[in-house]
Amino acid sequence: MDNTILISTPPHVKTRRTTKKIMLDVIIALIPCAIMGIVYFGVDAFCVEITAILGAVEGEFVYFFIYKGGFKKKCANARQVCADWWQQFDYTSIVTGLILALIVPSHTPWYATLIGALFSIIIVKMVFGGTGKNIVNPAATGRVFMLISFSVIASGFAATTIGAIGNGATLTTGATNLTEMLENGGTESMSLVDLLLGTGVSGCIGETCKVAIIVGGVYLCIRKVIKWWQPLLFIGTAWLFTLFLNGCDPTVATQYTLSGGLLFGAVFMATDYCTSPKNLYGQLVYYFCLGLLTAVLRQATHIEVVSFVIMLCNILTPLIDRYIMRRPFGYIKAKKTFKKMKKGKEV
Amino acid sequence: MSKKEVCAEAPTPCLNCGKCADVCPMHLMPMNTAFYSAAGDYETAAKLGGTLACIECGACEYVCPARRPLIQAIRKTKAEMRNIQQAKKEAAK
Repeated sequence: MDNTILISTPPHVKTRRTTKKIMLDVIIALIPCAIMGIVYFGVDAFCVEITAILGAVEGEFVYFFIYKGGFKKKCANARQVCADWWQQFDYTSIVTGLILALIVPSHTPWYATLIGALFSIIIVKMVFGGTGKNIVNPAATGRVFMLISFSVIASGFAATTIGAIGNGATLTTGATNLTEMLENGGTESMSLVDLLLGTGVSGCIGETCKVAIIVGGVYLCIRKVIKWWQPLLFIGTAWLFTLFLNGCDPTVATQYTLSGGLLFGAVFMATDYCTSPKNLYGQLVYYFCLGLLTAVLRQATHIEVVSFVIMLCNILTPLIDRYIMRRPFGYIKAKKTFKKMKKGKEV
Repeated sequence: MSKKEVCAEAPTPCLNCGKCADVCPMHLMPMNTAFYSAAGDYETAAKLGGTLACIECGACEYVCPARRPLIQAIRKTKAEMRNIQQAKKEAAK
């Protein structure tokens, strides 16, 4: 019998939810989007997804290898280093790779996906300190980087006609229906069912089938990974401001909201843990800002701005966290004391 | 408590998920305390994390998915703040 005695402070019992399990839940929630992407866009989408995931995991592994020097010693001891890496591997890089794959078009060349995945893992996440220390969403930043560097991604998205690949569907490239709507002022419209199912909608791999995104979002809410009101507040605010900016026409506003990367960004990218505020009131402000900025910037610049807006609000998050603080429970009369505490004066 | 009952996993890096702040009954922010006390800055830890109002219920450490030792950090911050305030009182005399 093992007679080790462990001395620690209470609590000794902890919840069974760990980082790995949370990330596994996110991966499971992303699987419907990934599968519908492959169904609509074919083998290309599958290649993009695999390249992105492998690139991200490999980036994290290589960084772990080179980090903190001692390269020769690590090479000699390679097996131990690999075992160490596997032991501390929480699946965050798989999640980042998968999300990055789902927000790029399906005809992205393999080198672009690889460079984007390596950039988003190494530069945005690992260099800043690893899990939980990134200041912006790595997938969003990776996509922005690819958009700026590789013009083939910005020009044209593939679309499918009704039916899955193999039933005679064709892939056509062209601007997304969002760009068309924004530039033509809402004259081109698609039926709501088409938008929801993603048939005939051109866009990035994971964004088109809204039903899959909703299913993934519901799964995440059930597993308590995100809160149900967070994506709803984002989407609702965006819908409201699109309504105001487009002459109070609900159908047009609904079409705008359901096109482009808004739903995907709201469910999977904006609710990312470490780049959103931790306070309740801070979160309300954050999602409201996200919705407002998306609506306004989509109208002002006729492009898909969700990645940019998410990056922008992620940069605002430390500010929101610092200045919107809840007062401790029960501090009614001592409000002045708390304010003094906040300002660092003697209590 | 036997080995099966106790959760003896090693801490992993803080995920910055905010679940500790969600679940705190005093509406404090334990992760701020943990960050700043790990860096040795106990005054900022107490100011930003509201440690002095903590009732040490343990809900934050229960719910932490990264198994961070939050109650240890909070208790250490409280002790250090007591020392600091004691030193200030002595200096003021």
